Amino acid sequence: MEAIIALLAVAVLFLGLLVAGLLRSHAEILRGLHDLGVNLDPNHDDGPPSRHQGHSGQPDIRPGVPQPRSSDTEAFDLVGLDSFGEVLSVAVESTNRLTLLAFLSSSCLTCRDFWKEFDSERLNVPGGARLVIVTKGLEAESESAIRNLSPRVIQTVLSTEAWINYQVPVAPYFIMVDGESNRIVGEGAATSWDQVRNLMGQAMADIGLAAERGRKLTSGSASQSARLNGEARAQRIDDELRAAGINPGDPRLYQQPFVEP
Amino acid sequence: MTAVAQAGIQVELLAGWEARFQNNAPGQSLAPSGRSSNGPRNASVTYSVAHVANFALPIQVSDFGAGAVEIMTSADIFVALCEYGPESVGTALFASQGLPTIKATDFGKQSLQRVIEGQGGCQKFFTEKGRPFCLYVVVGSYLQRFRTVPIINQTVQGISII
Repeated sequence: MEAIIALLAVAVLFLGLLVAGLLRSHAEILRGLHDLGVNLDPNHDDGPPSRHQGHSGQPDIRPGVPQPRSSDTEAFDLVGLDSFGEVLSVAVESTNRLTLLAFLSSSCLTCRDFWKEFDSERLNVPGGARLVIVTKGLEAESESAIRNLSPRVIQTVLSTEAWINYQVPVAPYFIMVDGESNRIVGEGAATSWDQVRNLMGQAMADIGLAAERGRKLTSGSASQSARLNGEARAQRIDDELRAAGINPGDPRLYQQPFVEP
Repeated sequence: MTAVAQAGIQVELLAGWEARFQNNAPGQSLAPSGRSSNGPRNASVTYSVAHVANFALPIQVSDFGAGAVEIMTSADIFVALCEYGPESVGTALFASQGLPTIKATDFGKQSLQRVIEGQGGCQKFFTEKGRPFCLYVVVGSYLQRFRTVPIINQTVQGISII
């Protein structure tokens, strides 16, 4: 009797392991299909996108996640009130500096850390950009709360219009603008200042932008290094390949390099 | 073109310029006690103040630019329009009517509220729409004032008392 029970226990254990293995394998297949752009969710109305769509550069956006901004989104000057109710405008476009816009709210808990962090006099802003805090206007914010939270050395602008113009999806949200090209160079949501610095530092590196004290560097080793590793480098390589008759999809791009025996 | 207005002063801004208003009028002040108001020599209290600049204005700027002029580079321009009390209307100092046109010769190295090496300043008193004002301009480079004066006048022309 004991032998039968032991045998059954071993069988159950074996079957359990088998089921776990099958579930894991199934999950890996689903993940692989998802990465290829195939969605097997029966509630997914749009139908599975083709592999071609998956490589077209259009990412599959989950519900609730904001659409990527168009690359030619313009920058806007800020016009609103300061935390004492005085009218002001802050130049963002047509300037020769970088501006980091911090869209915060007085009520969101995550924003509290940023309000506190921004009161530090030794705040290290990526590229030395000018940091400007933007909250919604008085119809959505408490003037006294904003006045209490506003840092002593960083401008706070109350402007719902700015939130609309910059299509801000959530708070806290950060947008880095290059005032020379009137172009948004980086943006995103973050929960800590370190994340913001990483995010913006990476965005600047991606486009080969080096800056100090808010001004773009056009010469020197930092500038050269940024250019060699950024967008300009990718563009230069593409241009050289095109000039050599090698276009996107060319099979020669996927060949192993020839190695001398 | 961005336009901003407060207390009957409207400023149409050139590209890359910014503006900030401050109201020091007795009994109407929205500013906290922390905001200083250092008027010109022997001046009475200033009422509405508009600061216009082609550089990033720091958060703490006194009526005549202390706090901002210290960070100016040679290409920078700072304009302050300061209103005085009704008791100044009709006095000789404010006899000139209408917003002034600035000339390069109006600038002096010693015409600054705060003398800073390399900078130049000029001050014009006038009355517009029955309100007495002082227009105070600081250029980051006194030597380059001939180049910056046309831009300053463009900026002044964008100011209107409404």
